[in-house]
Amino acid sequence: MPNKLFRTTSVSAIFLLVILISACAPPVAKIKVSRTEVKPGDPVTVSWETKNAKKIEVNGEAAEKIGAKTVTPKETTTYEVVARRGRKEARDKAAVTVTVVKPPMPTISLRAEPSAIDLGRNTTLRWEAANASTVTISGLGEVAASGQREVSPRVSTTYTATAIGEGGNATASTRVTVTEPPPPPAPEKPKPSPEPPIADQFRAQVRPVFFDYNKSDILPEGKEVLTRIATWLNLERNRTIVFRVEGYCDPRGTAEYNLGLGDRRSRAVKDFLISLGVDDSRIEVVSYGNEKAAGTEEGAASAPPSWAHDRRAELIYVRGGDRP
Amino acid sequence: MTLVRRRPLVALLTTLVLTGLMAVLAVAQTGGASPGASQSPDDLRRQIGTIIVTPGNGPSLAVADFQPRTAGIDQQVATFNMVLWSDLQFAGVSNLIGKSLYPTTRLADPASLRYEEWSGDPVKADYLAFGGLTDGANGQGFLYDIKTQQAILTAQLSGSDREMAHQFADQIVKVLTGQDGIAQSRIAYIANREVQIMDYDGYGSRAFTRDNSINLFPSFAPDGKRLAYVSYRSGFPNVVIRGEDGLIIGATQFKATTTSPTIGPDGRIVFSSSKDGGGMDLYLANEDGSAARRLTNTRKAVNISPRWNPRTGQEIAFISDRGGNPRIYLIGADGTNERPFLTLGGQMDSPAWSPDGRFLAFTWDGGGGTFNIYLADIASGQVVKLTREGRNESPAWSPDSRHLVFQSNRTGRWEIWAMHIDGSEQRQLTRTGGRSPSWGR
Repeated sequence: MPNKLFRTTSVSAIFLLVILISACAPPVAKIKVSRTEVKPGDPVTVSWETKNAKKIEVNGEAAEKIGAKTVTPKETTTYEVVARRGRKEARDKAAVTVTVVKPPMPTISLRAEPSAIDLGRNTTLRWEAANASTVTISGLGEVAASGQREVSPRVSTTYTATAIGEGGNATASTRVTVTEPPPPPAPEKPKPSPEPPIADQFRAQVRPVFFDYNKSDILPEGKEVLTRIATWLNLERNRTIVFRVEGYCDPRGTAEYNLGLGDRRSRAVKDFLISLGVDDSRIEVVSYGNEKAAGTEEGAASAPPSWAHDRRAELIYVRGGDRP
Repeated sequence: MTLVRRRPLVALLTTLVLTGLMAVLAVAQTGGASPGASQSPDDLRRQIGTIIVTPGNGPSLAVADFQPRTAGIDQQVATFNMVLWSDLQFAGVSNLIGKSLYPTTRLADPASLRYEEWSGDPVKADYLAFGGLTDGANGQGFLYDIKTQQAILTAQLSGSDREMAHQFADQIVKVLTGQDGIAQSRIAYIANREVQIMDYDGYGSRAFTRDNSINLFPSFAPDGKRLAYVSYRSGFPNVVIRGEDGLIIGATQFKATTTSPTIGPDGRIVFSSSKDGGGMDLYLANEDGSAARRLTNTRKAVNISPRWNPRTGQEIAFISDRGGNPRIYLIGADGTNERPFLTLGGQMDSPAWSPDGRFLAFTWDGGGGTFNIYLADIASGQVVKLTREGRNESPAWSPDSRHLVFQSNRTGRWEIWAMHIDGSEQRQLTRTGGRSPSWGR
C-alpha cells in the first residue's frame, strides 16, 4: 500500500501548498473615480476592486471586496481603499478635485428715455439684468430681469434698480428730471376798498395792551386802556364795528409755544372786553406769536424795539360801524 | 428679500459700545416715565452708542478717490469725492479710514485692485469703496470686502456729481447695515416766510411755497410724500397740506389760531387750535384737515406742538402749560391716557418722536435762559443734552432715526443745523437763515 500512501500524501501536500500559497498571497487593491475634476454638487462614482483581502475599507468605512458608490464631494477629496489580510495590506488612492466656481456678479443697467420730461409727461424706463435672481426698481417694486415700463413721476426722481444674485448685488440709478411749468403768477391782491372814516376813528381810540413775561393776565394799566375802549365801542353808533385782537410775544420763548401764548393774550383781552359788555360776535382773535418780535433786550414798552413792547395785544379794525 | 449679506457686521454695529461720545450730560432721573425705572444715567448713553459708530469703532471703510475715465471732468470728480466722503462721514455707520494712509496707486477698476495694499498696515480696511466717472453724468462704483476678496456691490450711477455721490453713499449704507441711507433725503424749513426744501446736506435749496404770506412749521408726512404747514394767507393761521408736487390736498378754515400740524403714518393730522374758544387744544383730523375732533380739553391752557409716534401712529407727544411752565405730555390718539411725560422744571417745546419710536428729542430751557436740544428715552425717562452753543430749538428726526436737524442761533442768526443723535458731527446746513426744519425722504 505504499503507492496509495504516496498518492494520498502528495495530494495532501499539493493541497497544503495551494492553501499555503494562497494564504500567503499579498492583497491587491484598486480604486478609481469616474471624474477627477468637478464642481460642488456634481456626482462622482467611486469604484474599487480588491483581491486576497479579508478586510476592506474605503475612507475608513468597511466595504465589500468589489464595489462602487456615488458621492457628491463639497471639497477636494481623496478616496482611498485599504485591503488587509493579516498584517499585509494594499492601498490605492484616487483624488477628486472640487473647483468652486464663484457665482457671477449680477449686472444691471437702467436708462430713462427721455431723462427729462415736463410735468405730466411719460418717460420709459428700460432695464436689463444678468445673473440676478431678483430685480427691484425703487417705486416699481419687483420686476422682470429685463423690461421696460412707462412712468410719469410728478417730481424729479432717481430710480434705482437693484439686482440681487448669488454673486452679490448690483445697482443702477437713473435720474428723471421733471420740469415744472412756471408757477402761476401770485394772485393779485384785491385792492383794499377805501377804508371808511370810522377806521381812522377806531385807530385813534385804541392803544396796545402790554403783558409781563410769559403771562397773559391783563395788568391794571391794560384794564384802564380796555375800559376806555369798551366805552367807545359800546356807543350806539359804534356797535356794528367788528375788530380783531392780535396777540404778540417777545422772542425769548420758543416759536411754537409763543403762538399759543399770543393766542391766550388776545383771548384774555377779548374776555375782558366781553365782561365790559362788548358783544362776543364782534371780536376775532389771532396770534402772531413771536413772528414779529423786534426787541433784543427788555427795554420799555413805550420805546420799541424792546421785549416789553413785543409782549402786547393790539386791536385792529375789520369792518362795520359806518352808518348808511 | 434683503440686501444684507454681512450679518456679522450688523451684529457688530448693534453691539458696539460708544467711547468717543461727545460729552453728554445726563440729567437726573425723572418721575412720570416708566414706574420703577432706576437705571444709571449711563444706560441711555450706551444705547445711543450702539447706534452711532464713532472713530475707533466699527467696521473700517476705506474710500479711494474716484478716478475720471475721460478728460475734462476733474471738477465733477472732485465734487463727487468730496460729497461721497461727507455723506459717509455723516452716515456714521463705519469707521472711515483717513485718505492720507491710502496707497498712492490710482484705483478706478477692480482689475487694478491689489488687496494687500488695503488689508495690511497702515490702511487695514475691512471694506473698500472705489470707482470712476465715465463722464460728468455717469459712473461706476464698487464696494469690496477686503477680507474675503469679494465684490459686494457694483453700482451704476447717473445724475449730477452730487446725485451720483449720494446714490453711492446710500447704497453702501444699505449693503453694510441693511438700512436705507439718508443721503438722498430732503429737508423742509422756513426762510423768507416761505417753505423751502433743500438736499439733506444743505445744497439745492428751492422755494416750495410762494404764498406771499407768513408760513410756519412745515412738517413732512412719515413717507415724505406730503407736507403740512401753517399759513396766514386766510388772515388767520391755518393748516395747509400739500403733496410733494406742490398741489394743495386740504386746509383748515378756522377763524382762530391753528398751528403745529403733524401727519401720522396713516395720514391723519394732529394740530393745535383755539377754534372752539377756551384755549389751545389738540385736534385730530382727516388727511385733508377735515372733520377735526377735539382730543384735549383744558380750559385756558396752551396745548400745542403735537407730534405723532410715527412707529405706532397711536400716541401723540405734545406740550401743555396746564401745570405752569410748558412741559411734555403724552396722549393716545383716541384721547385717552393723557399724562405728563417729563416733569423737569423750566420750559420745554417741540417734542419730536423718533421714527423707531424709542426716543423723544425736544428743546428745553432748564432755567439758564437758553434752550438746548435734549434726547429722552421713552422707556426710562432718562435725558441727555446734545447741544451747547447758542440757542437750539425745533428738533426733527431723520428717517433713519440716527440724525437730528434743528435750528440754532450760535452764528448770530437762526440757521438750520444737523447732527448725530449723540450730539456729534454738528453741521451747519444753511447760510442765509432758516428755522423750523422737518426731515423728509
